[in-house]
Amino acid sequence: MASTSQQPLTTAEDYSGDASVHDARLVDAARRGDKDAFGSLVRRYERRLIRVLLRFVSDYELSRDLAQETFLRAYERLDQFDPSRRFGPWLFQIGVNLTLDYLRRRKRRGRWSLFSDSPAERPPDPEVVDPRQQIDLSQEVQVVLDRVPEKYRSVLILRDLEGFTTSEIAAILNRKEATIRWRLAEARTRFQALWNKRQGNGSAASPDAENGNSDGGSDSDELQAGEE
Amino acid sequence: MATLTADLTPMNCRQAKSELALWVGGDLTESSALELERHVAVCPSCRTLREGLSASHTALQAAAAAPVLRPAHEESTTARREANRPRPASDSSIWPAVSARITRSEQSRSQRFNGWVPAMAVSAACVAILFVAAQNATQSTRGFRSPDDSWQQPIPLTPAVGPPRISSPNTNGIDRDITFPQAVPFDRPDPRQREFQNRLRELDREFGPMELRFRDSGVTFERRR
Ligand SMILES: [Zn+2]
Repeated sequence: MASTSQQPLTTAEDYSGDASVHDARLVDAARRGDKDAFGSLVRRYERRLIRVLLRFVSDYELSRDLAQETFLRAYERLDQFDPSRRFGPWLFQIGVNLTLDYLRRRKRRGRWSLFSDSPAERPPDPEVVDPRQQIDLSQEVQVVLDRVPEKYRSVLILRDLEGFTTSEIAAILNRKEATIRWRLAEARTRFQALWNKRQGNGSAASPDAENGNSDGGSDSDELQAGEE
Repeated sequence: MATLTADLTPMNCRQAKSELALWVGGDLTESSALELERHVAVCPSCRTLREGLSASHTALQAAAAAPVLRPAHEESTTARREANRPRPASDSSIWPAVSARITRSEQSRSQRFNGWVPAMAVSAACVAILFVAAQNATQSTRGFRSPDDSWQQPIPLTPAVGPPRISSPNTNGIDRDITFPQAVPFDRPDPRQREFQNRLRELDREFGPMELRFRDSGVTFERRR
């Protein structure tokens, strides 16, 4: 028998001590083939994960599908997980990467043809609020967020909408914390310029924030200096 | 417009604007915030930006606090699109679906595996017996270094180590034990030998270097240490 697994280890209720220690034990059990242990991890993280991914895709069913895919990949890559790290950021890193990949592919394919009735749809002219429907504040924020280039939008979503710390975001996006802080400043500046312009408050301040946003959040600023 | 004031203070506007964006969300240290405060006090341009940032940050906070699992647009676009499709309760776990997908992917992997293992087992049995005869069934060996020579020799037909078993490497927690056929008669070079070697190489590619071990209980494949 080459079997090394199947020790009856941990159930979701077995909370003894710090959550990350508990995570580590569950991961360890899951790696040795204990599927129930992995199930406990799924149940522990799924709501937060779905919530975060929903911020990126604005489609509830899609965010659940992406979360499923995230857990499946996490399970397949458990042997690559470094047990000295925390499980949460590692999981969210997989999920956010997967979601960003998905969004890029969708964008390349042309979201207008395939997703023309997607909730993420933007009005043709983002500077003008569509008077036909009453858009609530969250949607309004989403519309403006969609205009912010991806690398800034991601940080803004994780920090200001989901409340991760900049060091957690650094782990999720696999960047230095200094880079994340720089992007965060840039993201908030760009968001405020677009937001206030759209609200008609007219206090568009940073000239940077207006560049690179004139054509629907293209990532044409990729080469912009100031990072790393 | 900011250039005038920028020269009046130690902190320039570019730096101040960047720090304001951090300050508005509480991401600035206290000492940096004090210095920033001094700049903003004398810089109208940065004061305007601060107001703008405060307004947009308030909007973000409101969006953050809004219930996210039942988005407001659900009633419009999504609901319209999925009018006939019952959607699962927001809080139903996705674990059953994930679990089913894990099982499916493991099954498809095991089908691939079982597809060729029986054929290999037959060949492996031959080789095993051969090695048992040649090496007294004791030591562990990578095997097959020069199979042609030994393969040519007539080998007794009795299984030397009881019903041999082959264990696949433990991957993703799946263990499979396959029992060999009792004994495979052969008295001349077996064409399956090449096939077996090919499969051993496949196994190497898929699971890393393997070795064939002879034990009292049978023959096992194990990951080489
Ligand atoms: Zn200034």
